Amino acid sequence: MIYLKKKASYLTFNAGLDIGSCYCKCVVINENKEIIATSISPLGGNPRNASKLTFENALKSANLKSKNIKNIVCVGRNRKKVSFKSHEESEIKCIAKGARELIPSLRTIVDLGALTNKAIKLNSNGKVVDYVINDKCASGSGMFLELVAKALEMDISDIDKKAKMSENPLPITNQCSIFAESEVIYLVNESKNEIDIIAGVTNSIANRIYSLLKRVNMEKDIILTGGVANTNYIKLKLEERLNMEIKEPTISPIYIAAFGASLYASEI
Amino acid sequence: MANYLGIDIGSLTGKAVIIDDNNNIKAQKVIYVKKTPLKTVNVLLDSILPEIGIDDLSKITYCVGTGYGRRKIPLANETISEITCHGTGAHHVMPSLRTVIDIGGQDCKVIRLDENGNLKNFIMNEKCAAGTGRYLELMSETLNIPLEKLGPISLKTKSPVSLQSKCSLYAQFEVISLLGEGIKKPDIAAGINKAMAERVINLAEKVGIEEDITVSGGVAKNIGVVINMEKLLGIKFKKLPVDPQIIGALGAALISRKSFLKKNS
Repeated sequence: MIYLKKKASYLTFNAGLDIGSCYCKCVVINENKEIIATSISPLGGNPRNASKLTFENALKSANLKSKNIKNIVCVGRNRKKVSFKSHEESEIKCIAKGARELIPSLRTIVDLGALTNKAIKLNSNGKVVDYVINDKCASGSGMFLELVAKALEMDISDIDKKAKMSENPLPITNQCSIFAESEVIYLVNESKNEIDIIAGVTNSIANRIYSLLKRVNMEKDIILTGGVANTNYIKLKLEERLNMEIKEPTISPIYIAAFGASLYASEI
Repeated sequence: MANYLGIDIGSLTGKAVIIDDNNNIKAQKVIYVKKTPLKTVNVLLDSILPEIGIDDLSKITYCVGTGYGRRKIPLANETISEITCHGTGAHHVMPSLRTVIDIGGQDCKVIRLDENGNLKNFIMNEKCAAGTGRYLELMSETLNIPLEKLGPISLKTKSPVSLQSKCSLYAQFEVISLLGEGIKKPDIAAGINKAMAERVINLAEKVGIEEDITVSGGVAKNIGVVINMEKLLGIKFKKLPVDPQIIGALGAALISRKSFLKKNS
């Protein structure tokens, strides 16, 4: 960091900004494609302000000024709302680029976002050859998980820990997020254990991901990206179903699309 | 004096109807559901029994339960499916009906009846919240407009928005973003009612539609949805002579009387 502080003014940095449906994520990289800062903020009702704030926070933590940033590439559902960008890239391309940079052997990526889940298939050169997006129904998405956690009055950061404690995950019969929420409230009223309920819900997400993976003819190696991938229990359940190991990225999975965008920024 | 009770425990509301020996409605009640179906039943009974001047369950001649929570009604002598109860109730109040679209809190049913009120065919959506009352409820929360105002307010505009999302959760995000762009609430409300109507009519067309047709359930009270459905079909709905929310409970009460008489003949 001290090294960076000194040389910041004449080194070249690039930034990727991922403005999703719920959170804005920023990654700043140096000339060696090393991540020197990350930042995240909730979107709130205003993607413009949130993206500005996230970018400024990332700069601050790396002790940089905006003039030190050569290019900014924006990605994500709300990328159009950012005015201070050099370029835009698609989510599929950014996720693929970021993930592949971290794990060169990757062939399949599942991105678990706030609203949609995507499965991306790469060839041996890392080129996207196929992808499936579930964008018709929120079942199995991050919002789905958040809705259920809220119904259980459970903190999102506790989901993983609590699900892992369950020895008897309850089956959740409804696929629709809204109906699953009612089902969860019903189960609570039936005095079922919240640990078994949340384990059942995360299990159902793993099942949804499994069917998504089958639609792209997945191949090894596999990785999970996006904010929901922080729920490790989903990964464990999916590994059980697939009977294969899922790779662990070296950075938080929520930043992978922003990282990919920053790599694109460095290539402009 | 006989009291035949029909109880319809839905996902959002509980309904009870009491009829006499001549099939006349003596009392009716609609309440929001409580924490458990059992509590809903108790609150319903506590409020409907005094209306006919009784405070004792033994004065109830026979009881039929229906709806999503029908298995949780302790005093029910039998339980009957919602489809049958809605068909029976609708035919009783309007024998000319051949199609009943019932939009409940968490489902949507399209019921086809013959001239004798027998069930010809039906279709039901209970898998997806879109096209059910729950969708409207969520949208009204998101718009911060009371559910009962969603219909009237939508009539104030000639430029409804076109919503892209079918999924209720996605639609919520879409509405938030439309509000953020400064789109007026009546325009959004009109778009919501239109999307709702399209979903229901899509479902109805799968079983075919024959006149006379009516709409029952809580959503029948949203004038915006009703007008949009009429526009899509090019048909006017018949207006029910009773509260459209009690059709299922009324059907249950009518079946209750029939069952009792059959068993005691």
